[in-house]
Amino acid sequence: MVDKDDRATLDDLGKRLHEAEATHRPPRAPDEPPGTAVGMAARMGVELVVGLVVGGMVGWGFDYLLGTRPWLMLLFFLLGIAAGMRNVMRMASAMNAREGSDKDPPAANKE
Amino acid sequence: MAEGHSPLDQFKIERLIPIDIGGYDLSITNSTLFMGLAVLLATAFIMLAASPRALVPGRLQSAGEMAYELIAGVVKDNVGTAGMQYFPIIFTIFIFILFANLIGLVPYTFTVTSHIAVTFAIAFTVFIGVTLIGIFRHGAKFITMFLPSGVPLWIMPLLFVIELISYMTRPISLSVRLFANMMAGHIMLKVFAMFVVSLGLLAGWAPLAFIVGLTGLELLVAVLQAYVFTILTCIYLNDAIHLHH
Repeated sequence: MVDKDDRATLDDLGKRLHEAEATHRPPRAPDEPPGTAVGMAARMGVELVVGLVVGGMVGWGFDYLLGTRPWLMLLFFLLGIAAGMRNVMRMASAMNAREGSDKDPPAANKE
Repeated sequence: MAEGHSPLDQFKIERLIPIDIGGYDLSITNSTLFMGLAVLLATAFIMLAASPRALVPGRLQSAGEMAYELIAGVVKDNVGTAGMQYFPIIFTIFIFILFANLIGLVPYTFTVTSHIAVTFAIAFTVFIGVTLIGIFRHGAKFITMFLPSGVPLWIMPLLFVIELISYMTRPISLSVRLFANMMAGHIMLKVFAMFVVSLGLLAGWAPLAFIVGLTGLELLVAVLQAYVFTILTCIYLNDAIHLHH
């Protein structure tokens, strides 16, 4: 059983542990899972393909319902590519922001 | 090479106890078996870790507390305290995927998460749940999640559709990531294991050494992919709760 004396020491220890943890914990970017550059590249590839596939499937579904084959599928195919691009760009800007937060700010547009 | 030793053989679903109810195939397969095993082991792990309730934790209790604190930290960092009410389901998803991945690394077992049917079912559940949470919390305002700000009005319909499609890609990219990582790793292990046999006693040691290293890497991938799945779930939950994209 824990008596009063021990409780005080333990509380003190807990407080010190929290302080030590707070100072040693590395700052982490909250918005992006960890990963290597290769992993990131693979994820971007997947995002592109998945956007295309989902767009195509949505278009195919509408075509099936409305009987407008193949026009909506072609349209949504393109929209799917745009959505995939959008995902990749969002991911890349999140990566940039993370790089920028622990290193020098990225140089402004060079083009 | 003898037939029946394809690197893809390990992913074959086998019916252990055939069950047929009303034309639906509800057989107990090896996939079912190892899913059940993952649930059982995960439950046993948490129960055993929590049962001593020691002030100074032993090894098992430490492991349990680490898992708990890791996921609690992820939820708090990504969703904030509003997300803690969803902690149980997120922790369950994490521990299930983690155990399914780790069990798959033991030789002669079946890797549940190497099938897209399984990972997609989890990802789609997350997707539906998160969308419902967003709709119930914000009602019609949930639509604003698909409307980017600072865009001329005439281009809005186009962007709305694109954002909607991009939102719908989430469960697929989430499940493909986990499934592809697990499947690729296991195929690679099997292919190099076949090299060991075909190269024989003389040169077989090199691929064997490689497999040892690869197994270590796969251990990392197993844990990391469970973690990534959890973080992405939290990010999606955060989008639904706080409505920013």
